[in-house]
Amino acid sequence: MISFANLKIRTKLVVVFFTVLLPLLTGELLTLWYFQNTLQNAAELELTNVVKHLYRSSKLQKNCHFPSGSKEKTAKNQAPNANTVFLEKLFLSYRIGKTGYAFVIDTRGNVIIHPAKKGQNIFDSRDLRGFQFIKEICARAEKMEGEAIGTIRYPWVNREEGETVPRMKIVKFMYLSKWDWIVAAGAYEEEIYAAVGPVENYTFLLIVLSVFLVLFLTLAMNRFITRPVVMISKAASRLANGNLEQNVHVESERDELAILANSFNKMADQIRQETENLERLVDNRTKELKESIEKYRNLVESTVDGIVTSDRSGTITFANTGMVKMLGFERDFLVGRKIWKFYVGGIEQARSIMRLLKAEGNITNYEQKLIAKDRNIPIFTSASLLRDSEGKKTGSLGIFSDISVRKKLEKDLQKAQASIVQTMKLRALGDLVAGVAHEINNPLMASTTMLHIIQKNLDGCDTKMNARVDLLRKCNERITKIVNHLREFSRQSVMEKAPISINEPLENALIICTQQLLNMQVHVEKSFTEELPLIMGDSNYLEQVSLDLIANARDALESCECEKKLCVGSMLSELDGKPAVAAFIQDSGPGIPQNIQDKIFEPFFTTKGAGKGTGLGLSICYGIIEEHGGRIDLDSSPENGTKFTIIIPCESNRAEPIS
Amino acid sequence: MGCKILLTDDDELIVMSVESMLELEGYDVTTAYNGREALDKASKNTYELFVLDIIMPGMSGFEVCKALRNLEKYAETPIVMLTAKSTELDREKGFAMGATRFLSKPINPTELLRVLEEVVLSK
Repeated sequence: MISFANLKIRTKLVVVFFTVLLPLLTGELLTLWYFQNTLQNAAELELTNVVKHLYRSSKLQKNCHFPSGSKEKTAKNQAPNANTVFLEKLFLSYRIGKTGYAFVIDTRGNVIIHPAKKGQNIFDSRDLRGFQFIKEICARAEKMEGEAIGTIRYPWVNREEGETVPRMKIVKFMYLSKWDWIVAAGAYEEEIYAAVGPVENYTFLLIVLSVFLVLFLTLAMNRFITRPVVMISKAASRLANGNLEQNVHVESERDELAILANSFNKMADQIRQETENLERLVDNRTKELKESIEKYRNLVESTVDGIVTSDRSGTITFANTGMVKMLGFERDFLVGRKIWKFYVGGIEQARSIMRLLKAEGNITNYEQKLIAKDRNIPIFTSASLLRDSEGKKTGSLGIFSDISVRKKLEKDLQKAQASIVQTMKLRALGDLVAGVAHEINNPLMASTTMLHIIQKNLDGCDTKMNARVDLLRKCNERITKIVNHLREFSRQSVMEKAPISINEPLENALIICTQQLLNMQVHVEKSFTEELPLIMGDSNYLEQVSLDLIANARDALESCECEKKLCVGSMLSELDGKPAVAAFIQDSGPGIPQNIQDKIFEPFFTTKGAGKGTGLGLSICYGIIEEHGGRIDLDSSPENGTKFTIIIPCESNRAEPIS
Repeated sequence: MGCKILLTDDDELIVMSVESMLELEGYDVTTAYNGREALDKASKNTYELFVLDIIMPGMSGFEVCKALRNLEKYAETPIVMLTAKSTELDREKGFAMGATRFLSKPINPTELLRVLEEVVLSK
């Protein structure tokens, strides 16, 4: 069942129209019918009353004799008396309507009283339908009792009167059995219902009017209420569906519909504006967001460090350009792989990182190595856990910083620091040694002098005494040598620096040693760079250093069973970021054991037996090179032999080599 | 030779050993243990050659050298300076003060004798 509430307004209106109209009409029609009925009844009542009156009057009359057409009632066939005449006159005096009259017949159809057909027998009369209405009347009358009234209607036309149009006649009758009289009165319905006609017309007019009124009301309602409402409703619907350009126009200006329409228009306007604002806002925000994303994307992509995210199982979910470049693998190669595949420490490394992360939440400056395409890279890792909005771990973020350069710098720094420490040690020692040497000088000189005197006074023939004194002299000589060494060590001697090529002292030293080396079957390989920039150096001292180093190399090769090779050379280099030259002396000997490599420059350190050197050589070399602003590096292993590299900064005014 | 030498050094070992050696060679050696004493003796006597240590308490050898040169009689006299330290600066200073020669200790006795001979001969 469709409920009324769900119908559209117009439909509702139509329903209301009919709901009002139908009862109204029905009421009106019923009224009409009732009215008609009442009128008819009233009209018929008149007829009935006439019949009744006549019946009663007749009944009261005594001794009435009426001639009848029937032969059977001969006893009563007498001349009419006064009562009879009166009664007849009474009957004939009645006029019902225009042409209606009262009459009497008997049950055989004999007309007893009638304005025109007295004495006739009309038993077989037929109406215009052919129906024997008199016969019907008679038949019914006989059965009637008391003051029962019968009614009959039939179509009739009184040709005799000149009527041409058939009309319905109505006859009311009663039966007076004592005389076998059917007392009747009849008239054309039309005539007795005359009053009904106008009433009917009026009523019809009313009905029509009321229909029109209801229609008019409905149309008015439709026009003034439903239409605007529907308009607004449609506009609202369109608005709701996204069409924001809605504007309702109603004809009224001040009524509630106008208010509604205006409010609607205002709201639609506001909505449209708000929507426009919102759209603009969203556009702006989207643009801002895009820019922000772009900015951050740029940041992430342009940083040199590698940024990587991985999920909970350690699979790489994102790798930035920095990572791609660092490792030398394509992004597609990285994403989807397990991150520990790129750790030198493998899955164990990943596990320990994860343990730290879980404990601390994030880690910084965690040192490890990554496996790149062509090498392993030392890395500082910063990592943190990624969480979703509920705080659950979703993965981790790692930032990898290549610290190769840093490591190298660290190494260089360590070397420089070691160098400084060494220098300071040596300087302190030098001061000490200088002091000692100084103290020894005088007694030594005195001793040597006295020995000189003693020797002079000795008899040349006393060989024993001469030998003894000679030994003393040798002792003094050695002491002197040691003191001189010590003084050299503490740089008591003067250094005279001049712009020279580092090749010069090295080549000179080589010349001195060449013969000896050849005798030992040492293969000498020279690789001097010819056009090296000049250094400020003391050629003699540098020669001494070269000699010392070559001597050490020679000693190393002397006792070894291997292939005897000595490489000497020079090249361009750099020291602390400034241009420098480097000279190297490399032997193919057994190398210096790892555990004493940092001790060799220490004074008095020697691997040789007693009497075979003071162990001051390398420390003095160190000091001399340090005086030149340079450094000696050691690179030694059993496979590669021993290589000493001297690095001295170039003369500061000229960095270009002489041509 | 009989050349008169004034030997000045604060270390008696040096003084005694060098004096012995020089005497053996025929020099006439007078000794002094500090600058004051040296100048004192130098002014009182006349010497033909000075052998001076530099590092001494009180007046340094440089000051003695300068003072000697200020004395007219010693304007041209050879002065040989001995020192345990011998830097470029010291040498320059020495020569600026008027030293004739500069020797570093420990000095070989034969070397010393040779230098003295040289200096005396070139006078």
